Amino acid sequence: MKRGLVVLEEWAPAELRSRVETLQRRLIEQGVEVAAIYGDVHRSGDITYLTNLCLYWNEGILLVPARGDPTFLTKLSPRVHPWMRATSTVTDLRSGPDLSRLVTERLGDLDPGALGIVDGHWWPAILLRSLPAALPGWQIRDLGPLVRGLRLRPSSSELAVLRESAAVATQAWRTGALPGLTPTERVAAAERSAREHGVEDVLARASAVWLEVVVEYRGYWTAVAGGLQVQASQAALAEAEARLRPGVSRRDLEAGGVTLLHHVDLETGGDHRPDEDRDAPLEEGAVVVLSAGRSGERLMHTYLITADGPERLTGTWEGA
Amino acid sequence: MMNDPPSAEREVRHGRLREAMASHALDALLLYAAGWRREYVRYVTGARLSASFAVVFLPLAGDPVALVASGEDRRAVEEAGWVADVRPIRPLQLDQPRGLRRVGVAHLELMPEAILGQVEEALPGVELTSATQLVDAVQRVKSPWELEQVRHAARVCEAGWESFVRALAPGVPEYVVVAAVEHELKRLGAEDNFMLIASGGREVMGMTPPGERRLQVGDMVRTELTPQVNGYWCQICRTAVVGEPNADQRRSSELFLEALEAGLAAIRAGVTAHDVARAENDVFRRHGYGEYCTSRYTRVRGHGHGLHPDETPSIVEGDHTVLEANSVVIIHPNTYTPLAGYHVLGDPVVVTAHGYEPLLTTERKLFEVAS
Repeated sequence: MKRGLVVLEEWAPAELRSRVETLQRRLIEQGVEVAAIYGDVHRSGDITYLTNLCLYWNEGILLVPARGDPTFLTKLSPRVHPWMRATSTVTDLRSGPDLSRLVTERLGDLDPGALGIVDGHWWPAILLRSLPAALPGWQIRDLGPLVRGLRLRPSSSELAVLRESAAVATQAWRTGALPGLTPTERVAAAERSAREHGVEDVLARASAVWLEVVVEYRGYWTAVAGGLQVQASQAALAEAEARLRPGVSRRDLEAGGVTLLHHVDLETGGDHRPDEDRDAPLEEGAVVVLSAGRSGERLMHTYLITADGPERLTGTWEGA
Repeated sequence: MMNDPPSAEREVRHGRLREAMASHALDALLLYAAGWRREYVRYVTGARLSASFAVVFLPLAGDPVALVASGEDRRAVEEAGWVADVRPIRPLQLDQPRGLRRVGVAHLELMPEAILGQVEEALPGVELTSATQLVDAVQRVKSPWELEQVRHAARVCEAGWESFVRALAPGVPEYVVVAAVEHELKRLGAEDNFMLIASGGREVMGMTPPGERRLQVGDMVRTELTPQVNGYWCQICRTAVVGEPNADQRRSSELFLEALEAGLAAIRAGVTAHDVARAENDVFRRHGYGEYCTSRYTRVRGHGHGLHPDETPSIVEGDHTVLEANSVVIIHPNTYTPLAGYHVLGDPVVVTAHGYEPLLTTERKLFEVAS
């Protein structure tokens, strides 16, 4: 769970403002007055990307007007607002048990227009279906994975954080992969290492001879997994790695028996990816995870895609 | 470390759910698991899932069907062996049994449009209604096997608190304290942990995830930590002082101990959550701190435990849910007062016919850590 360090880095506010402004330009282009982004403790990457908010429990909605500052609507108590303000760029925070009602109250003073729902089909249906009646005069429009699209190619500052995240994951893997540990000792050692390096979250799984570590560091997820022995899936991973370059699609790579995830999809294991993601050409500058082999023994690494091929950001014993 | 539930447990659970269906005129249940709320699906499958969503269809008569989002979850359900018919959730394929008219959906409030829309297409003409409260009520009363899991989780919980105390020292950042606790809990086999922390003095109004703040002599350090072991969560709430407590911190500790003991004294099968909360809050009122029992300063005076860390009922005034024997609740009068800031003290118990079975042996006191 998200029980680790949550901080707002000094450099972050300016970059976060710029991300919100990019989204706002998209909204203006599409004639949308306000974008609504739903998140919960399991899936909150879009909201974190725009605000640095950490949804450590429960659900919430980020409202981003085409002009002006975002508002975060949360089921958590107002007692959490000072912490949220200290660790994010959001200043307008509103709490209540009914998110639909909070949306209505926030938009009540505005002239009706278009409310853009980001990833509407992943919203709770009851909440989504309540909006037309709650917002008479407003046009409810699905914006699809608009924010995910902005996240697929990280900025230079994001890439720097992704490199740190990968280094933390690698260190945690190496700490947990020492010889002679039991599976629970491997997980415990990896967990402690990652949390002492300041991750928000870490998901670790192990067997007697294998360890997988997935970490969220400053909102950025990376993953590494491998065995303490030579594994049959190494050839498949090496082959996919050799083919990983701009222009290749996920479908192309996965034909070789590996799976590919963008870093933005790691928090949910790719369960919410849009169907079109399978055939979209990978872009230079994207950060992705390749995995080969079945759960419990798979190999995983995190890569930056460059024009010359992949740069591996994580390492195991063979080094990175 | 895993202690798989016996197959008899499946018969008990499915039987209790079917009794509840029958009494609410439901022909079937659809139990939905979101990535952060998998408790209902674990209850009916006995399986630990990891994907972002899953659904189980449990008809009043006939075999259940599990709809899962990954090969890993398919294997988990098949290995648990409680549900033989396992299918992919996308595209969702359900065969509509003859005569199916009314289906209760547990966690309907969380089910995404992408899944509910498919359910509606698969079950045309069927009335779908929320069964969240119904399934909550079924899960509140634990079987003997479930109580054994909670008792085991309680032992891990206490070890977590001991590691928390060991980690406290001047200069140590909050997040490093949490790292030490997580290490101990995972070493003991915990699947997960729900944990909040706060350090400082009278200015502390509540608890959150950890920050970079370094502990200082005189700090009160508060935590609720809640390991999940073999599916079942168990929580402890305690407060420690780095160095010697001052007079106000001791007075605060006495107040919270009195409130906790009042709440525990009120517990037995047949009383309501309201009764227990009132017993706790009356202590604060009697000492002139009644305003600090309101939502401005606190959330609940306790809550249920089980396959979710925050099960019903909420122990609050106004909640008239009747406590039943073999349910598990934590009593924690946690709140802010001007005495020493936010203070936490809480113990989970099993409700019995005439009182309760304590789950923890950790002392109910203000802990002191040498500075």
